[in-house]
Amino acid sequence: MTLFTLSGVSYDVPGRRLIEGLDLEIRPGMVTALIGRNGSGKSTLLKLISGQNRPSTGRIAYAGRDLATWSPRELARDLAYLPQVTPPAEGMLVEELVALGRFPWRGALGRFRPEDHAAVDAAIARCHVGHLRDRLVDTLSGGERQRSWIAMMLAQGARTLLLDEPISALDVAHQVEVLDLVHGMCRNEGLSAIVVLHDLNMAARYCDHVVALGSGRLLLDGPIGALMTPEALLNIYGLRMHVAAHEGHAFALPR
Amino acid sequence: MVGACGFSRRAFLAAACAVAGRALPAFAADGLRLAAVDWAMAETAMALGHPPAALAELIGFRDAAVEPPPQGTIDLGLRGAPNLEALSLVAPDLILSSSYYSAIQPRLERIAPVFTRALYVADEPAFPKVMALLAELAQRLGDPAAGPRAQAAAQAEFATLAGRAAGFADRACLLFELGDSRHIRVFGTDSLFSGALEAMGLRNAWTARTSFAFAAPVPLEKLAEYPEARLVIVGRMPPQAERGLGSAALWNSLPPVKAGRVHRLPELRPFAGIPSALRFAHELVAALEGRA
Amino acid sequence: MNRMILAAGAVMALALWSIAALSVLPPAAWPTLPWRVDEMTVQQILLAYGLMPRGVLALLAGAALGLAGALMQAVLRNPLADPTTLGTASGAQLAIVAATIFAPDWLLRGNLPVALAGAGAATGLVMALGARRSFAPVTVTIAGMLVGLMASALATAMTLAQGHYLLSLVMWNGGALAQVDWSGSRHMALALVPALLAAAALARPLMVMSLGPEGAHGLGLRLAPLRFATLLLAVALSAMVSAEIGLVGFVGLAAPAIARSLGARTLLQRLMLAPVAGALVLSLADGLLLALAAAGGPSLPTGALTGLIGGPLLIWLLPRMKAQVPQQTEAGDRRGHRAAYPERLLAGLGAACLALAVLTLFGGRGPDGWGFMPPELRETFLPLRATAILAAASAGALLAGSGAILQRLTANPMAAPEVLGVTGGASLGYAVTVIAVDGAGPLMLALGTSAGGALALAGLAGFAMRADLSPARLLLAGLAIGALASAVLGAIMASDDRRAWVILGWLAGSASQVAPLGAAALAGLALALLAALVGAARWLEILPLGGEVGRALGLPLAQVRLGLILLAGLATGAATMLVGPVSFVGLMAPHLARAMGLARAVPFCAGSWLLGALLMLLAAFGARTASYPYDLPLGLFATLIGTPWLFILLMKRTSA
Repeated sequence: MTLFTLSGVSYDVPGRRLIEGLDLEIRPGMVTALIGRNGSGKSTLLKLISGQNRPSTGRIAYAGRDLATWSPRELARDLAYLPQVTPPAEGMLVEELVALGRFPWRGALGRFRPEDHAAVDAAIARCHVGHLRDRLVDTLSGGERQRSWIAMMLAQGARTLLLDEPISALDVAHQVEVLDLVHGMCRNEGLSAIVVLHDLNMAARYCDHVVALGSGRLLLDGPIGALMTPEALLNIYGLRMHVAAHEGHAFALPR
Repeated sequence: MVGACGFSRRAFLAAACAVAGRALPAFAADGLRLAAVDWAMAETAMALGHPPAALAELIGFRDAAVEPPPQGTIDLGLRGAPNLEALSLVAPDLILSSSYYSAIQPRLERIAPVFTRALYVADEPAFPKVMALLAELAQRLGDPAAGPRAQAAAQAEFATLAGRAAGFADRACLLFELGDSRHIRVFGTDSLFSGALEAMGLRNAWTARTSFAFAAPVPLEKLAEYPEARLVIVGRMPPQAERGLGSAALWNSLPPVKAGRVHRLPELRPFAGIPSALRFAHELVAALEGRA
Repeated sequence: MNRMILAAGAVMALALWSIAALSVLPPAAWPTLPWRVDEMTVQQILLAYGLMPRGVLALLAGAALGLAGALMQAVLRNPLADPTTLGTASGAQLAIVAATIFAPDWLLRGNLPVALAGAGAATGLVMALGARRSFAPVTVTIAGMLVGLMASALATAMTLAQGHYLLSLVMWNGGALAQVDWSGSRHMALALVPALLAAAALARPLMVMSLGPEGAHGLGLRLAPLRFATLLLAVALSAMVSAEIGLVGFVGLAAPAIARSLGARTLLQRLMLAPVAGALVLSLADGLLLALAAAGGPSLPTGALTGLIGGPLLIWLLPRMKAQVPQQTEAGDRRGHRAAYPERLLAGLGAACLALAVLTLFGGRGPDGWGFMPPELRETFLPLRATAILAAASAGALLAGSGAILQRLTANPMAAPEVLGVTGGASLGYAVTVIAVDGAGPLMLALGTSAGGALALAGLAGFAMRADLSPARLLLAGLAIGALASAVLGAIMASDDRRAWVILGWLAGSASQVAPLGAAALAGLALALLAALVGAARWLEILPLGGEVGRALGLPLAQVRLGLILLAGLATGAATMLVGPVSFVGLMAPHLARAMGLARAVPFCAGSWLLGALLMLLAAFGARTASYPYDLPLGLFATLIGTPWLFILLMKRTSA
């Protein structure tokens, strides 16, 4: 079964078409990189498949069902989305932030059950933020904050994670930390992730599959290896690049 | 405690009430103990010789009072929101109010019976109502003779003033307050002062529509439509208006201004009782004679 | 094309003016130059010293307002800035009202120095608040509106206290253009010419500034002196207009917007076109009223009409703001401390509420001075006081609760029920009832007030239902509704005046004249609100994180927002009937709660609720005793004791 099936999806804002007639299938159980130049429609596409925005035309199916037929809470139990800029969480502790991930399960009034506490604890442990439980989210470093937010997504119990540029503001050590986490979860626990990335080498290192957009159209859809060729990069970025390999990992540099 | 004369009068009244089948009014030391929320009522009660023991906005009332309230009068706070605790402490036999305070009437009634009248209603001349109030209130106060007495006295005074004003009856008067040097507020025919004017045999020049005794705000240029009238400015003038008017070409070109037919009266109360109407009449005649 | 529009506007304005002029005199009889007053007829003087200067003044004042608005918008990079939204005009109003009452001699040399001082002080305050938040447009606008509301509340109270000058004050508040000589036009022209030159000189530095503070600094521009000089110029222009003709709202907002939509692309073009647009807007508005009056209609103050245009204009501008407003700068402060034991704090607050209620129930001031109530009076006094105390505390809790909801909903610490427009709608409902129904009783008034509040709410909800509602826009829509309401109110007040007293009295927040049944109803509502707050705690926890996170967590965003807005609106409307439209308890209490370290949804909301009750209990006690036997207006007293505090709090919390 496919994770997402997009058929003829377009998205318009007044005066402009951001996504143009997109047909695409995304498979589960792997990390898919979503790449492209600025303004190519990556974040827009992520918002469409996360249900944040409705497409202007065309259909999106998630797990075989039309996205529009999922109720918001039902969808949130299955699919988690991390916005590009995480909002300030004024006065909130890490533990409390992660616990918000149980909202799709318990709603506004339902009592927390043992399995909710277990899910929160597991998410905290998996993201290695146990020692930060009682810290204010807004006092954390960028990497710690990003891991806390991902812990919240895990607490949702979601099988699909959508992350919009999760590493753009992090130093390289934190970048590795976050992508390692995402990659490990897909590899070991069968989760699926779609990650908007700007760093080609990180994409090549941590992703299994790639979808590249340009001006709202599909430029490339294939295994990550297909991305790391000078031709593909020229097509996507309009830039000539060297591609080399070291210990089985490809990397690219501007020529 | 009670003088012989007063006793006989009251005994007579009690008998009269009993005959008329009405409840006997409860007498305090000298008549009903009154508390007034409305100033027109307070003035009327004072004119009848029954000054209220307590009065709302006493400080403001003293400011432009025809006759100062007696020493020891108790202040009840704002007219629109009287202090109910203070009112309870006064323990009045009767509360004098008006339709203007109908919103708080239920709360007043919990403290004492309320005597109320709709005195100032849009498009209904206030003067006859205020005149009639003298008799109605006197009746309610158990002193029915005081009403006609006060009415007769007021009418006699108006008649005297009419005699002095007869020489000025040739021209109508335009009564107005100044807002600033460009706007005025005109007293219409339904106002108290207009009624007083007529009682003196004079005419109000403004016969157009009003709302609640006033036409307001009226641009100053409207005055140009009344070249023959006498202009009567009621009340204090804001300092800017004073300054602005002196140098205003329009004002200075008005025929009444050129001819010196402008008269100024002190601060007067437009929504009040017969005493204020009389005071207005006195001031007007004095102003007319002063400029004549 | 654009020139055609401007020309058409000019022709229309001239035509409207001519209708009025021709109704005075046919052209053949117009006075010939040079004018000699002694030889002119009254009609000729009316034309030459009344209508002509009025027409010229409308042009000049409109131009001044347009320029002031364009300058403010440029320097703050905020398409919503104008003398009305920044509180400048209200500051001038308050200063003039205060001077009229307390120091009339100051006005002998003209209104300008006083107006300038007031306008400068108000704008300075708003800028001081804005500077702490890097002049984020929405925050600055809200701060301006709050300062404006406070200034108008104070002015209302002063007007109430001194009836003598009511007419002059109401006239002035309405923005009246009637003229009796050329002095106003002369003053305005003398000010406008140098102001235009100064604006042209400021255009280039302002253009550099539009790159943002960092960019401007990089290009070697010193921001502070530029900001100061530009704002000073704009404030002076606005004060000038205020001093001459009173409050004329929203021309400064409309003119630059028109200039932009006519294609004024560069800043210099905008600075030069905005005065033209402003002159036309004010001339059209005034011409319309002149023609109406000439046709036998009522003569309304011009400011009321421009206000009527202003509200809808603000709403129209909102969707177009997106591209022009830097959004990231709106973030509140990120760090706050958290109380270790919020339960203990809440319990303490509850105990304080009870203690204060009991203390003020038995203690107080009577004819014999301060003291506790003697036992023999208990039977009479206790029911009276208990009713008033219960009503005040409930109203405070209701306002604070809706303030807490709004601040969570919008993630903006400046959100307040006053800003929601519900109070504006409620006041309008009250005023219309007073005008339409002679001697309306309390039930009638209550119905009218709720109807007004409900209508404003419906408008707001309609706006909220639209797809991508950003909370900041919701606040602005609320402000727009409020502006509309106060414009209509101004017109009502200026055209009638016996009943204006009743309305004025209520606007200041009438004292605790509530009946026991009403107090009980308020208390019931307050408790229901508290229950709803606790019930909605998880929503209120997620909402400050923004729409994206809310949707990602499966929150039915539209319904939740709508429900909470309705809840806040109802609570505000109910409290407004008792306290009047302005009290700032709804803003103050949540701020205090946050300063105490009540951060999570339930402690924050419950704490705000309790603090609101506490604040209003204090205000009620003060209002009852400060000048016994005069029961001062409750809302006004709350405003007076609360606002200085609030400003200190706002300044301090973000200085880090």
